[in-house]
Order: sequence, then C-alpha cells, then structure tokens
Amino acid sequence: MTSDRIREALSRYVDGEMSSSEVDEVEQILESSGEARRYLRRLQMLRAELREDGSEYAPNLVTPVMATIRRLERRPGRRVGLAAIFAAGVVAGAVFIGFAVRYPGPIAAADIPDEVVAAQGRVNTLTARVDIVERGWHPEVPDRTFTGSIQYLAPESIAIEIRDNTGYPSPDWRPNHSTVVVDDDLSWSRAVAGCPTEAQPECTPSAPRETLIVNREPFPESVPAPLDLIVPVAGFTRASEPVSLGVAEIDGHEAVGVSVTAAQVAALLDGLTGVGNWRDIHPTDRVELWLDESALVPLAVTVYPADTADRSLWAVRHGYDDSPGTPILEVLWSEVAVNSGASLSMPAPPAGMTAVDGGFGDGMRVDLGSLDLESVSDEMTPHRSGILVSGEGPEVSVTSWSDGRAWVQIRWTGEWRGSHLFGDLGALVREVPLDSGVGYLNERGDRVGVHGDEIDLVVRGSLPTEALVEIAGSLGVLGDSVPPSWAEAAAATLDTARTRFPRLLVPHGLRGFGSPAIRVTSDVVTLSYAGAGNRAFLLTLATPAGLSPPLEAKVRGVVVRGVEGRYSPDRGLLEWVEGDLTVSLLSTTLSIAEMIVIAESLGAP
Amino acid sequence: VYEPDPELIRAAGAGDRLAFEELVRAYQAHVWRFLRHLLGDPALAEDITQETFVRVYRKLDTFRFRSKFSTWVFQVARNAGIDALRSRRRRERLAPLVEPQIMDPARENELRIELEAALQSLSPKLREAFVMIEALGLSYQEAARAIGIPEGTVKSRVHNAREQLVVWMDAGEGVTNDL
Repeated sequence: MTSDRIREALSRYVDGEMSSSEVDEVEQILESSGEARRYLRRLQMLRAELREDGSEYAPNLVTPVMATIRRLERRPGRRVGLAAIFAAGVVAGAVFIGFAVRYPGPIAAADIPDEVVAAQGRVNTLTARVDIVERGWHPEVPDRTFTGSIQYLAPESIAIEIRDNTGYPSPDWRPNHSTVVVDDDLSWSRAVAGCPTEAQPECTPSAPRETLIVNREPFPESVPAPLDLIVPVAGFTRASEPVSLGVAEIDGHEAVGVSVTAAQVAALLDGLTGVGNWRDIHPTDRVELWLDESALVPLAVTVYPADTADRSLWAVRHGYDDSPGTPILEVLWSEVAVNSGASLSMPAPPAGMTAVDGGFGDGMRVDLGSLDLESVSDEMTPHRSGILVSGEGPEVSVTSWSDGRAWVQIRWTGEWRGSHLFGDLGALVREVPLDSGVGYLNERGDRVGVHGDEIDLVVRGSLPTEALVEIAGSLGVLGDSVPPSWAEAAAATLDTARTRFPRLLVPHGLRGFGSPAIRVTSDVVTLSYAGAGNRAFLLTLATPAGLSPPLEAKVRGVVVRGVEGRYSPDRGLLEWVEGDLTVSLLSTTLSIAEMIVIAESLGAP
Repeated sequence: VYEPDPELIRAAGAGDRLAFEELVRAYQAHVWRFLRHLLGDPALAEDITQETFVRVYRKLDTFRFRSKFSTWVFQVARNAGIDALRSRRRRERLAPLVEPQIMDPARENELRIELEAALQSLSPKLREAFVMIEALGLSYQEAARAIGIPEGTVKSRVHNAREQLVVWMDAGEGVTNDL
C-alpha cells in the first residue's frame, strides 16, 4: 500500500467501515509500522476530543421548542392523566413516562430547593403505588418491570414492598422482590443479594438476605429510614436552582419537574433500589424528577445515562449497553395520598428471622443535666429518647424531636475519651460561632459537634444547617475549642487559611455548594465543599509543585487553566501544577466538565 | 443514535405534542453537537437547533420511513445549519468588522478551542461530513443520506478532513508526517 492509501485505510478502520480481510491487512500494517500506529493514535485523539466535547452543556431546548410550536399553532395545551401516560408509554415502546407540560410553573425553579426543605414538616402520612421499569440490567434481561407500594407514618416508620414482575429466561434467575420496613424501634428487610452483572445469574443466592434490628435508636446513621423517598430533603438541601421541566398533571396531581443529577438525589434513588439486586446508576446520570406541586412528594423519576466518554467507559466496565437517549430507570407513583387520615400499620417481620440488638434502651430515663431543650420543644414534638450502650464505648444519651418528616436528634455523653470530636464529624470540619462558645460543623453541614466541660454532644437532623447551629447554640453548653492535639484543631476559616497559605485559591461563582470545611497544615491546605445529596468535591493545594506518578493506568492528559494536567476517571482526580503549587480536585460525583469549570474559576479569596 | 418507535413518529406527525416532545428530548443534544461543530458558535447552534425542531415538526407528516428517522432529522439540521452559514456569510460581507466570538472560558479548555478553530478552518463540505461521522457516530451510509451525496464522497471527505486536522495536530507539536 502507498502511504496515502494506508492513511485512507486507517480512516475507514477507525470508522469500522471495512471488511474483515481489510481489517486484517490494516492490522498487519499497524504491527509493523510505527508511523501507522502514530497516525492511528492521532485519529483516535481527534475522536476522543470530539466525542467528549462538552455535550453535558447541550442546552435543554424542549421548553422553547414546544413554546414556539404552541405559538405557531395558537392552540391551548392539554393535560393527560395516568391512563394516557401509560398509553403513550405503550405507543412509544421505549418511553414509559411522558407528560403534557405547561410553562411556567407556579413555583419558580429557584425556590424549589427551599420549598422542598420546608415541605418536610407538612407530611405526616403517605401511601402510594409505584411502577418501575429498569433497563440494561443484564443483556439477557434487558428490561425488568416492578410494582410496589409505599406506606409512611411520620416521622420514620416506612414500608416499601416491591414485587418483580419480569419474565426471566429460566428459574436460575432470582426475581428481585424486596421489602424494607422501619417501624420505630424495629427495622427489617428481605431481598435478594446484589451481584455484578457479569456474574448473573449464578452468583445470586437462592435464599433472600434478611436483616432484623430490634432496639433501634431513633434516626440511626447506619440503616437509616429512606425518608428522601417521602420528601427528597437531602437532595435539595444546599441545592442551587435546578433546571426546570415545567409543570404537568400526573395521576390527578399538579406536578413540578426538575432536572438534576443522580448524585444529587442519590438518597431518593437508594430508597427504591438500595436493597436488592438492581443495576448501578452513575452519579452524573441525568434525573428528571417530578414532585407534587404542594406536598413536594415524588410522583415520577426518569434516569437517563450521562452522555460523556467517562460514563461510557464506566458502562463498559459494568457490562451495560446504555444509550444516552434511553432511560435506564423509570418510576411512576400513583394513587398517592398525603395526610389522608388513614390508619397505617407497618408489616411485622416474618417469623424465624434472627434479630440484631441495636443497643438502644428506648424510654430509659435520660439525665438532661444542664441541657436546656426548651427552644427545640417550642418548634417540634418530642419523639423518642433513651440510652445507647454499645460495647466498650461510652454511654450515650439520645433524644429526638420531629415535625412531620422533619427530625432532629441530640446525642451527648459525659464519658468522651476520644482524641477527636464526639459524633463522627470527620477530620474536615468548620468552626462556627454559637450563642455560647464555638461548635464544629461537619463537611455536609448536617451535624454540629460541641465540645464542652464534662459534656460532648452532637446535633443532627434534616433541618437546614443554620437551624441545627441555632439549636446547638441554644442548649446551654459553652462550646470550647478542641484541644490542639485533636485532628479538628487544624480546621481553619478562609481568613486564617489565607494568612497561613498566601497562595490560597478558592472557586468563584460556585452555586449549589455550602461554605467549605478547611484544613491547613504547613504545606497543604484542603477545602471540602459539599453540595446537595452526594455532590461534593475536595480542593487541595500543596507545595512543592510536582505530580507524583499516577497510581492507575487509566489517566489521561487534560488542559486545565492553560497548563497540561491529568485526570483519573476511576478516582475522579484532576491534578495539575500551577506555579509553585500542586493543585488537585477530587470528586466521585461531579463530571470532568464540571470539575474543569470549577478549576477555571479558581482565584484568590 | 436512538431510533424511535414508528408509532411515536406517527403520533407526533398527527399532532401529538407529547410524542413530539419525546422526539425533541431524544435528539436535541445530538443536533446541538452537530450544529455547534458545523457553525463553530454554541449560541447560534442553540438557535438553529430550535429552528431545526420547528422544521421537523412542520415536515413530520412528510416523513415516509424510507430512511432512519435520525438520518432524516440530521438532514433537516444540516439544511438549517447550511442556511445559517449562508446567512452569516452575507452578514460578514456587509459588515467586515464582525464582533469577535466570545467563548466561555469556564467551558472551553485550550485544546478544545484550538480544535474548534481547526474545524472551522475546514471547508463546510468537509466539516459537515467529518462531524457527522466523528462526533455523531453515523455510518458512511447514514451520513451520505443525510447530506445527499454518494457514500464514497463521504469517505473521501472524512479522510481529507482528517488529513488536514492531523497536520494541524502535528504542527502544534513540531512533528512531521512520514507515513
């Protein structure tokens, strides 16, 4: 072959437009010719650049297009009920959920996060049916369908029963039935175990996995009740203005729609698919979420795969053949009744389950000591109180309040001997002034730790950060600074961080994230930013400048802030050298495009 | 690229806006990507993407299922894009001092800006064929139908586009092509 013919052949080779004999011929040339390999790499680089070209910025034009069409036709919009929605789904084949959408909605998109957080206090009971379609779980079972029910009784009793209606190829495949029940101080679940796609169906044990916990503390950190399934508070606390999808009518309910990422509403999705054998969803996948306009309870969820190269690689590694335009999960709520007044009772666990003791003595007399709980009691209703005794640890008193789905828990002990803050706040904390002394906020801003004289306490809850800080400051405990030997002593404010690290860089124009938790040592400053749901990133600035060899093979070069950097999709780590600094951004829930935007915005505080 | 159920297309053609909305949702990102590369201007691409779907809506009842629906949509997008290019050329002839294009610095890294510039240096004929194959992943046959040219012409245009872009890449790194 002449050089020109080889290049022309390589062009068709990357496009997959040649016969098998031609492929063999080209691959022989590639084996023997370094120049041919180099030319092929060039073509592959071009493809990589063009296929990952900021498609995540592709604008959502459904609204303006449909508005234009309406204007052209000068015809009023129409509404559809559930029957029509299902009929549309049947007609479309690949589209389960579809709504007639009107614009604009009565709630401004910018107000939806605050509205959702506020709505949690208004939901006392909920019952609903759910219909679920999951796609791409396994090549031999591309579509699975489920029906289920949800019962909720505030503040944390909930029962989710899901039945798998899929027709499987053989009895070797285990139906993905699941039941999750939380009934105050008892919780139980029964579901098949999750297994990787490539190991199906053999790896799924024939017997379902069962768990039963008795003497459960209120609002525990492990095995929490999936309350975002009722009102998605975690998904909208700290959220920026979501992309609006307009309003629609779903099964007789006025609904507002927003487009968010799967990371943002992970708690909601986990509420349905956290137990059992479900396919994985990538954190950057796009979720269209429809909420009841008044109660802000979910009515429909559709998850679309993100259209990025990293997402495609992730799918290949998981054995999924996803297509960006085709939903991988569709959930439609129906027969939704909020605060109906119906008497609800949670299903009892099946006989024969082995119970695990959660160690909580419900109703045991709690010694309040000098704690002043008056301000909490003014706003919320006392829920459960008691003593938590766990093995060698200190005796911990627990008290809790609720208001509908909203909750607050205070835990305290007089026996804390740890070398870090009581309450598992993590090493990255933010010091906050309290009415009396100081407290410490964890990265996500959903717990406040106070280190006092002979008492250590933590305030947790579903309320906004400011409300938790206010409660912590109202308890009558003077918050001391942590001892210098504790990890949290390296916590810094932006001002102190800038003083100790003059080259400090911070993101500008950042929306949808809280103030950072900052840690400063002699040559490293770390800033942790938490957003809505699981959205978060860690910014690290270190001296001296220099990148250590990467830990994994899948690292690619990227241009960031005008210099060559590198990105590891497996770790979600973007690194580059800038002057005398090594800078890194770490996130497993943001896309590389979002991280580049954050990197480009860095500047002096 | 996603191919919708024919019943969905028929429903949209019969005036079912719900069905049409699903089609817009399915194709808007693909059409925008194609037009962004063809026009070299994200904002203009957004306008022309909207124009494309309005044209698709008006012409939907003429779609005869003789080609893939995606190919037909790209054909409409391509025609709308070519119209926009012609219109822009007319404006440029009338106003030599065109405002510089403002790129969003937060969204464009240097390599992508350079690649976009290199793409814009290609002739529109090479560019549209190349973008359909490379960015949208169409086959030569699908691109040929969308543009309305023989398959062999698509193949040669894509190859010629790549030759020019590889020269551009090599020039950036001081490499000579000895193949």
